[in-house]
Amino acid sequence: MNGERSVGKDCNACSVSDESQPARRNVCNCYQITYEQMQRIVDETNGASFETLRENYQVGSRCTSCEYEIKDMVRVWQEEHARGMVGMAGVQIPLGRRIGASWRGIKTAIRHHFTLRRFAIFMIRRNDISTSLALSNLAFPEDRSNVNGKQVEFMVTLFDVDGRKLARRTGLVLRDGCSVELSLEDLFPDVRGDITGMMIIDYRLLRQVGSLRPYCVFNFSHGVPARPGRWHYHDKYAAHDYNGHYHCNHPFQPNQECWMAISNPLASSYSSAVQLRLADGTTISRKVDVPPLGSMWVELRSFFGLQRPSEWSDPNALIWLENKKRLMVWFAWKQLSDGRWIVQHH
Amino acid sequence: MLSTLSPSQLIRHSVRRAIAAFQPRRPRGVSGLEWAPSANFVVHNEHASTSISFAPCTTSRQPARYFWEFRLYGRNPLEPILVRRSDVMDLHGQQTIESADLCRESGLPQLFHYCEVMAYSPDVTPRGVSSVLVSYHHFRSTDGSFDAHLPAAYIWGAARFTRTEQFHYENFPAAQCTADSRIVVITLNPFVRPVNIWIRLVGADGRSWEDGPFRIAGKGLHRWESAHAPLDTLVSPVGVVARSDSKTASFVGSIDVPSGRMTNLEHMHPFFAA
Repeated sequence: MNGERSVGKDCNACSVSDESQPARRNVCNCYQITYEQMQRIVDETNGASFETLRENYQVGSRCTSCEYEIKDMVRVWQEEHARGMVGMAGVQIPLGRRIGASWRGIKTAIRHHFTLRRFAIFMIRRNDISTSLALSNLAFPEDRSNVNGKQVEFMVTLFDVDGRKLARRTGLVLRDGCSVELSLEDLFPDVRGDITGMMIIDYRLLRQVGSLRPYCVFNFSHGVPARPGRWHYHDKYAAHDYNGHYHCNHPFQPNQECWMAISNPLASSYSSAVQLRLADGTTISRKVDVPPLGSMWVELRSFFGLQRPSEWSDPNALIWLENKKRLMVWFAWKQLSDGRWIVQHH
Repeated sequence: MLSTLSPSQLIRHSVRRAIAAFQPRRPRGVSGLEWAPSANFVVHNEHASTSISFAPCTTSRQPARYFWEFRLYGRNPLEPILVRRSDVMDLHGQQTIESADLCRESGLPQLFHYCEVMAYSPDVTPRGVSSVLVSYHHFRSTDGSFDAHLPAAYIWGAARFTRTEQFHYENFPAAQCTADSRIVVITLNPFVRPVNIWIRLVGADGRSWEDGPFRIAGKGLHRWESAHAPLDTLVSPVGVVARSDSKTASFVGSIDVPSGRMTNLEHMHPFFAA
């Protein structure tokens, strides 16, 4: 990074150039509500609270980042009207909005009662590494009880690298407030030997995901048998194509191997060019084909056929996949000196 | 095209067209989204260092000019102690900052500081629900015993339905909290105002224990360790919950007690509302 640097007083916390500013100024980016529209909403609801606006207009219900701006707008509206009027009319939500909010609630309830909530995550078991499934069923702390009931039921299905179903474990239960870590031996005692693939976790009757997002723990031995190493990684929470690239910044670290894990959660195959761009601008391309419900686990130096140490230790290398179709990608680094691993999603 | 549709597809297609006809049209080429910054932290001392990398292709597929601005904050949340602005980058470019350079330029002997990356393009607006061009931080110990590779935390613009009520919460499942393993939680405050946080450990059997509040200054960070947690009453694996009165981002790590070394570091997630 050879660009401009500054220290101390000439720093400007908002120094993005004017030409980068979009034509619209949003309060809520997720639902594309502009300041003017938000002002109209506050007006037409007679300064309803943030919670009421969230329920009826959905503003602030997704990433929640606009919460403070909306609360400020409501507070300013209420203060201005309190100064100008003896009494203020009560909060009014238009009938259409109330019907809309009720309809959304009904649709969500129906969907959650009749569909499984499905998550998928890469798994592996080899001589020195093995993954286990980690789940926490914690009630939202401000709820009087867990919205998902006293327990959640789930099942886990195991697929190999080619997408073949190897085993399914049904009737698993996780009680409210509890956490569990299930090894592959716990889940599938009949599946033995080395295995690479994907687990699909299906929850029944889940009203909210809450804390139930599935994680895997990547357990590894590294010369201290009494204290095996562990690293968490989680599913990829997306049901749509990715608007960026599946990628990895600086994959090559000194004295480490970099591995790429891919799981394809879809019923159609995934094909893509995988590009490696080195600091000198050289680009190397390879192709991946992942069958439906299949997986991959490859060491990147061999995958790209890198011969020279200057290539596989390039600190500014960048890897990306061209195809944006829904996929799950993780990267893992192995310390060659002592066998420690770290695992992160792209 | 319509002739290839089945009757049910034709009905669905017609209904969608009818609904679309009544929806307001957005001007072409204007998504309305704005690029948003992301938060992380930098460590640099005799035992550890950090590399911060940014590549625009992380959340974009649009060929354009991209820039990023890195801001390192100290005690004053209104004024960064160091700002670095990038040269222009193309879609598949990448640039890296080393913490050793930040340490030297800021004149500080060591770093354990909050930082932000504001990455943007003057040519294109974000597409899709995520409006953050995320940077990645690679933390490593100088003796080679520890590495972690973490994306920056979203302050705004995440593609997810998070649940928040009076407080904001993040959680992490199935952490180990034993006599040999201690939990560390590092929490970032991306706001100018101070925030309070509480850390709750929920044992595998549902018993919980909470510590706090801890006050984090604006654009600051806080490190919490489970040294005082009643380990004998908490059954591993443990659920970790960070509660805060404003939206914060937390990372969870483990310390190997006999050696005193950190063994892993990962990020927490909010409770999901969907």
